[in-house]
Amino acid sequence: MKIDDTSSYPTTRRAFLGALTAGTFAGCGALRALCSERLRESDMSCIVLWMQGGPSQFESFDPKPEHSNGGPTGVQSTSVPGIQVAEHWPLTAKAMKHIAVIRSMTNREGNHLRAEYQLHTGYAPTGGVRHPALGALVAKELRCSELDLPAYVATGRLRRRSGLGAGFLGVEHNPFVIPRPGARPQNVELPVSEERLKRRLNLLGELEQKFAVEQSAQSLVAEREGLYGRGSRLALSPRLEAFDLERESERTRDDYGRNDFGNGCLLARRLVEAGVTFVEVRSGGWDTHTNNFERVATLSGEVDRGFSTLIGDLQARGLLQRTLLVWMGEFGRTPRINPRAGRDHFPRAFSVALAGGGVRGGQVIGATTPDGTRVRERPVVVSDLFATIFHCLGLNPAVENESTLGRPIKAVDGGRAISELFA
Amino acid sequence: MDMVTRSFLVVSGLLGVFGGVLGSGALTPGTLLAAPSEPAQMAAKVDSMITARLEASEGGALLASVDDGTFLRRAQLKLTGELPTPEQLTLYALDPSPQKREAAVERFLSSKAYGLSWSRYWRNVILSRAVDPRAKRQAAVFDSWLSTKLNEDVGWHRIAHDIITATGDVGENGATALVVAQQADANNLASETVRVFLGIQIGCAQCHDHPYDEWKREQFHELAAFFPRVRIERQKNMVMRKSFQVVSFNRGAPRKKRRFAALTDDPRKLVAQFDRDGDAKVRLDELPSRLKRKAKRFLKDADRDNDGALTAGEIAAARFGKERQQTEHFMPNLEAPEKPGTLVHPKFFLPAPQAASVAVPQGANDLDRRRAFAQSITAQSNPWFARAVVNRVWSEMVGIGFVTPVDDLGSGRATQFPDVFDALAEGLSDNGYSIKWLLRTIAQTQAFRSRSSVLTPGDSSPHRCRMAPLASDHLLSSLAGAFGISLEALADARLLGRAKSRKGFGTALHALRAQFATVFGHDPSTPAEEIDGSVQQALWMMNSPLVALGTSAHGDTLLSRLLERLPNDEDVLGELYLRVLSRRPSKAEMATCLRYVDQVGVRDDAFEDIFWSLVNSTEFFHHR
Repeated sequence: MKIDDTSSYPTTRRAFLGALTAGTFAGCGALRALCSERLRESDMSCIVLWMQGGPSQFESFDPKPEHSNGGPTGVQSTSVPGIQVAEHWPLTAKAMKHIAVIRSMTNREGNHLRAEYQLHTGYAPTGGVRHPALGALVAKELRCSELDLPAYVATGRLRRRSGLGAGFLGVEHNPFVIPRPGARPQNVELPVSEERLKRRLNLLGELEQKFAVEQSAQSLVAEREGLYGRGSRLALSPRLEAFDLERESERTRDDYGRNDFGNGCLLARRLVEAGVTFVEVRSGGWDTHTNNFERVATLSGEVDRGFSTLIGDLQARGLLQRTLLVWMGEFGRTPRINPRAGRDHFPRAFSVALAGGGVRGGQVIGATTPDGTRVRERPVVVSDLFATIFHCLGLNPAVENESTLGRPIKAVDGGRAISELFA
Repeated sequence: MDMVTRSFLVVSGLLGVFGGVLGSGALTPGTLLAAPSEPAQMAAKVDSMITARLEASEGGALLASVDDGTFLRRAQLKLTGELPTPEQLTLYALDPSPQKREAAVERFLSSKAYGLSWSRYWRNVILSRAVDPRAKRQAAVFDSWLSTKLNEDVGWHRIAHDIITATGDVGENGATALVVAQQADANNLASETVRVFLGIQIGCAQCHDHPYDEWKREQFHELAAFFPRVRIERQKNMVMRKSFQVVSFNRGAPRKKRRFAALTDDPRKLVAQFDRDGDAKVRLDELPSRLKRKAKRFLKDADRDNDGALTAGEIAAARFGKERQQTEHFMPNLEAPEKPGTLVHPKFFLPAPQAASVAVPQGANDLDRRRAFAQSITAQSNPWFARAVVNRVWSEMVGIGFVTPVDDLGSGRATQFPDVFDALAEGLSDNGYSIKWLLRTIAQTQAFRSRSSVLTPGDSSPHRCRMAPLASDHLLSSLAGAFGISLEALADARLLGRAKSRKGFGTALHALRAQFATVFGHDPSTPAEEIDGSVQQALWMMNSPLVALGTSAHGDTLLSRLLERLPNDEDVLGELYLRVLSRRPSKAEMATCLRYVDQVGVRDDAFEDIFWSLVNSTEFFHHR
C-alpha cells in the first residue's frame, strides 16, 4: 500500500505508454550510447558484497592466531607485507594490494533486523521514518535516466523489509532482486507481440484511470503503472543479455565460482559494465551461533573466490577505479567461543573491507586489542563508513532528501570520511 | 469450492424458507447458528464507541456499508483466502435474508479453507523471521497442524502454549515451527515468542537497555533463561530415517565419561588444581590416572602450541563442541566479552499485576521452564496476550490495526480507539480466546463493512476498511479462481517455471506457494504503508506462463468456454468482471471494452486482452 500523493499523479495512459516508448524507441541507440559514454567517463558504480548474518572478523580480516579467542583458525600472509588474513582467504590475500581493511568498525546494534537496517541505511531504526538503503540513495543520485535496466540490483535472498529498499524515496528506487543469478530475470519473455503488449497496456491504463477516480486510488494506480512501465522497458531492453552468464567463458565462470555468490559477483561486473549504478551481492548463512569454524570455512571459500576474481576482473577491464567494492555484514562475532563452537553477535569491534573506487589498497585502518574484545585505535562508526562510501562515489553526504512527511533528511547522518584511505 | 457452493445452497435455501414463512420473528436465521448474540453485542458496542469518538473529534461518522458483491469478496477473501465464484456472488445477491452477511461469515468460518488460510498467515508471521532458511520447510506441517486447531476453534492460549512447549520430530509436529525458525537459540526464542504472542519488542534489550521502553538488559536475559535447554538434534526416528527433533537437554546424572569434560568447564580451576610445577600449564603426567585417557584425547585437539601441556586459555578455546553443553543462560559481559558472563535465572519481565507468578526453581528442567513461560504469556492477568492477537486480526480484517506496526504495542505507543481495543481484548479473553469469536465480532462491525479507502499519512484510522495488497497466498488462489483452474492443477502443471516439487517442501502445492511467495510474499508484520510492489511482480503478472494460459481463449480454458457459450459480447464481459473483480462492469467500462473489441476486430484476441487487463488491474491486486 502506498501513501496517497495526488500531486504526482500522471495521466495513466501517457505514463504507461511513455515509459514503454522510452525503451522501445527504435532510434534510442544513440541515446543509450550517450548514456553509457557518460557512465564510462565520469560515473561511479558501487558493488556491496553483503555477508548476511554477521561475518566473523576472526575468521576473515582480523585473525588472532596468538590468542585463544582466535579459535583454531590459522592465518594467511598476503601480497602486502605485514598484513595477514584468516587462512580461508588465500585468493583475496593475493589481491590485498587493492584492498583496504577497516578493523576498527564499532557499533552498538547486535540485533539482526536493527543492525541490518543500520548498516544498509546509515541510520539506526527509529520508527516513523523509513530510511532509504544506500543502494537507493546512490542509484538515485547517479542513475542514468535513459538506462532501461534497473539502476539498483540485488542478488540473493533479499527479504523485502524495511531498510533494504528505497524507504521514503519511493517504490521506483527499490532494488530489482535476482534471487538466483545466472539467467535472465524471470518473465521477461513476452508471451505476445510487442505491439500487442502496448495495446494491452493501453487498455489497462484506460480502465485503471476509471478505477483510480472512482476509488480515489490515484496513488496506488500511479505506483503500479510505474512498475509496469519499468517492467516493460526491461522486458524489451536489448541489454538484457547482461544478465546471461552463459555468455561468459567456462574459464571465467569457474574463476568466479559456480555458486550463487560467485554468479552474483560475475553478474555484478556485467551489470556495472552495462551501466547499472549499484549492485548488492548477498551471501547468506554467516550467523554462525553454532559450528562457526566449519561453516565459516565453507562460506569463505565461496566469497574468497568471488571477491578476489571480481577485483581482478574489474582491474583487467579498467573498471576498478570507478567501481567501489564494499565487503561487509551487519556486525561481527564475539571473541568468546560459545559452548556450541559458535560465535554470537558482536557489534563492538568488527571488520569491513573496501576495494577500488579510488581507495588506496594494501592498508589496514585501525586495530583491535589482541583479544579482539575492543577497538584499540582509530574507531570507525557506521556514519564514517557511509561518509567514506559517498566520498568515493563523488557524492555529497549532506545532500538532503525529503521524507514522506516532508522533513529533510541528510543522506548520511554526520560522520567523516576516512581520509587515510585516499592518501 | 464445490462444497462451499453446495453448503451455500443449503443454507440460503433454509434462509429463504425461514425468511419467507416466519418473517423476522423470534426464529431468525441467526439463532440457527452457533451463539451469534455475543459477537453481535460486542460489534454493536464497538460501533457505538467508534461513533462516539468520531463525533467527539469531529472526524465524521461511521461510513455506510458496501454492496453485496464487495462484502462477499472482502469477507470470503479475508476469512478463507478465496475469491467468490460468479455462482456464489449471484446466489448471495439473490438471497433476501437480512441476516445473510452473518450467515455467509458463519459459512466461511466453518469451511476448511478458513483454518488453512489463517494458518498460512501465522506461518508467515513466524517463518518470515526465521534465522535458518531451512525453516521454510516447516510450512506444510505447520499449516496442517494449525489449520486443524483453528478449524476446531481451539483457544489461542492453548495454541500459544503448544508452540512454546513443542518437542518432537520437526517433520511431524507442526508446533515446533517457531523453535526451528529460531534454531532453538535461547535469546532468539525469548524475543520472538514475546514479539509474536505479546506484540512486544524486547529483542533490542539483548545488548542494551531498551531505547524507548522500560525493559532492562537483565530482564531480557531473564526471559532467555527460560530457554537454555531447548535443542534441535539430529536423530533416527522410529522407521530409522534421519530426522530433526526438538528435544530438552537436561543435565543427566554425572556419568563416568564426563569426568574430565566436566573439569574443563572451569579451565583456571583445572590448571590450579593439577599444575604441580607451577608453570601455569597442565601436562598429562600431572593428572591422576583416572583422567588420563580422556585428557589425552582432549590434549591432542587442544594443544595448539604443541608443547605437550595445556594452558587455561587453550582449554577454554578447545572446550567448545565437546560433550558438555550449557544448561543455564548466561548474560554476556559487555565490558569483557571473553568471559562467560553472569548466570541468570528465569523470570518473567512484566510487572506484578500482569505477570502470573509462576516460580521456576533453580536448575529446573526444560519443559518446566517452557511451561512456566507459556503460562505467564497466556495468563488472563496478562493483557498483552489478547491485545497482540486482537491487533493482528483487526489489522488483517480491516487493513490497519489499532497500533502500527502490529508487533510493537509496548506501553505508550500511539493507540487509536484505545477503548475499542481494550473492549475487544477483554471480550476475547472472556470468550476463551476463541479466534472465531473475534472474527465473527469484527465481521459484524461497521468498520469492516464500510467502503474502503487508500491509506494516507493524514488518514490511517482503523475505523474503516483500507485497500491492502493481497497476501501472496490470497493472490495465488485468486488467480486460480479468476482462471477457473484448481490450485492443485496449477501445482501439477508446474506453470511457475522452475517450481519443481522441491524436496522437503511437502506437496507440490506447498512448493508452488513457496515459489510464488518469493515474488509476492511479504512479512505479515510489515506495516501496510511499507508493503511496496516490485518490478518483478509486474513482470510476473504481465508475462508469466500462468497468466498467459489462464487468460487464453484457446484450448480448454475458461475464456474459450465463455466465448463459445455466450455469443453476446456484453454477456462475456459481465461474466469476466464478475469472475475477476466480483462485480458487474460499469457503463463506462462496458463501453470502453466493447469499443476495444471492435477496434481489435478479432474477438478471441480482444477478450484475451481484456481478461489480461482485469487480472493486471490494481483492483484485482487489492483487498477492497
